[in-house]
Amino acid sequence: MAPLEPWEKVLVNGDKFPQSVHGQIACVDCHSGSQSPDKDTAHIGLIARPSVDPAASCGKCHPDVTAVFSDSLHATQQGYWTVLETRSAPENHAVLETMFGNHCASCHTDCGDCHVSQPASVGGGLLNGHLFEETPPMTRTCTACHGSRVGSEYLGKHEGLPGDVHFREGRMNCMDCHTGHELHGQPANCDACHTDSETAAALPSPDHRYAGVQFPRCETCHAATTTGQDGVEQHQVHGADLSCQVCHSITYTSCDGCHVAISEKSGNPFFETQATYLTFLIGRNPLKNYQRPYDFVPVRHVPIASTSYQFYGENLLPNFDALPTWVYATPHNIQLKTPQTETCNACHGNAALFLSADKVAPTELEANRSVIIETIPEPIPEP
Amino acid sequence: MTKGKTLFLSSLLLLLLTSCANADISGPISQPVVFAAEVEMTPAPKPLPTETLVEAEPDDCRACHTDKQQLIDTAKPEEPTTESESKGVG
Repeated sequence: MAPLEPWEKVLVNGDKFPQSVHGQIACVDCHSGSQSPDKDTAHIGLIARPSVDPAASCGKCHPDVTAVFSDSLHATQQGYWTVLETRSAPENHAVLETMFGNHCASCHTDCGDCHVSQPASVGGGLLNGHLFEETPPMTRTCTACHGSRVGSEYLGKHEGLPGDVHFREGRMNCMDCHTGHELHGQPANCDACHTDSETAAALPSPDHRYAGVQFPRCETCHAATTTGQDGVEQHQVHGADLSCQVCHSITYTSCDGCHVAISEKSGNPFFETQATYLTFLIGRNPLKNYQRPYDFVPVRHVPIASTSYQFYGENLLPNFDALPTWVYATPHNIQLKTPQTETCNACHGNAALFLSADKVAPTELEANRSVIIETIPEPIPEP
Repeated sequence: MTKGKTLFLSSLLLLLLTSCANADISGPISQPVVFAAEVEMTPAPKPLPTETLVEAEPDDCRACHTDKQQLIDTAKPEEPTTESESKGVG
């Protein structure tokens, strides 16, 4: 959407906001500053975004949420650190922290970034006259950040590729699957059993997006699929050896070689992604576990390179090969019918669909040993 | 004399008992007596509280931030935004 004018970013709805629950709270109680008709005086000590400290602001009334939110991926961005620390070495962490602060930390999200304003990383500005949105508007919050891959796939922005059936047919938004519990750092509604916030806060924090319980999961709504009661032979044949997306997603985005630096001209941080392209490739599941038992999953190339951070120093990722560059993916472009569902041999014997060694850059072969498929499934004789 | 007196008293007692036995007890039970002292002890209903009209304190924050024109007038001139030097998708 078009960027907001400066006044538009801070215009409060004078009719509705005072009538709302949050409108009963004095402005200075959250934003500090002081009452004065003079703008500069009023803004001395102003806290424009009070929820940068969730416990001291929103947590006064919503302590159950803020107690666990501080450990959520939206708050910690721990997913980045999990891969950075795995590929790096302890002696490089200080430099990488500087890099992270310059290029990655702006993606941190707190309460106000979804419920009051657009995320700061896309320019900020009140969503709806300072009214608090219990369910954040999808395209102004979720896909404003998660736009280049998930948003474009889900909304059908790639030419010739339909959007996700859940959006096209069901008009479902992100929160219809990704509940507030999950987005607040309580995957799978942990507090349904762990009812007090103290216990919920003691649960292990997620260290990447696919950590722990798989949630959301397709089977929550499509239960008949997993119980073999939907009459689809392929669901019974394949059981849990394929993730749902192997058959029901279509071409999605992969990226190569993001490099970051500080501009000599402006002094601003910037990045450059070497390539972005559409792929559909099935690989071995690098995260196979009880929650994600699949043998095969779609894999997406992430824009990491061994030289991604070389602006900050040489060889900052000495353990680059410790993680694949083709990663477990859950493309958000689900369709009932896809090229893979047409016949058994749409996949069986079709080498083009599988991540074989010849499709991996020679410098990344070692990193991707856990996902590369060495033997393409044999074709199946069709009647 | 004593015998006649005894007979008279016995007849009188019998008459009284017979009268009591025929008394109609199906009527409404009389209400307990309410003593004046008890009535006075019942607290009289207090008058309903009426809204206290407190003059709202002037709220400079809201006065400004709900006034589009004032926000436009007092906005700091925007610094020219440098075009992002990033290339490709993030």
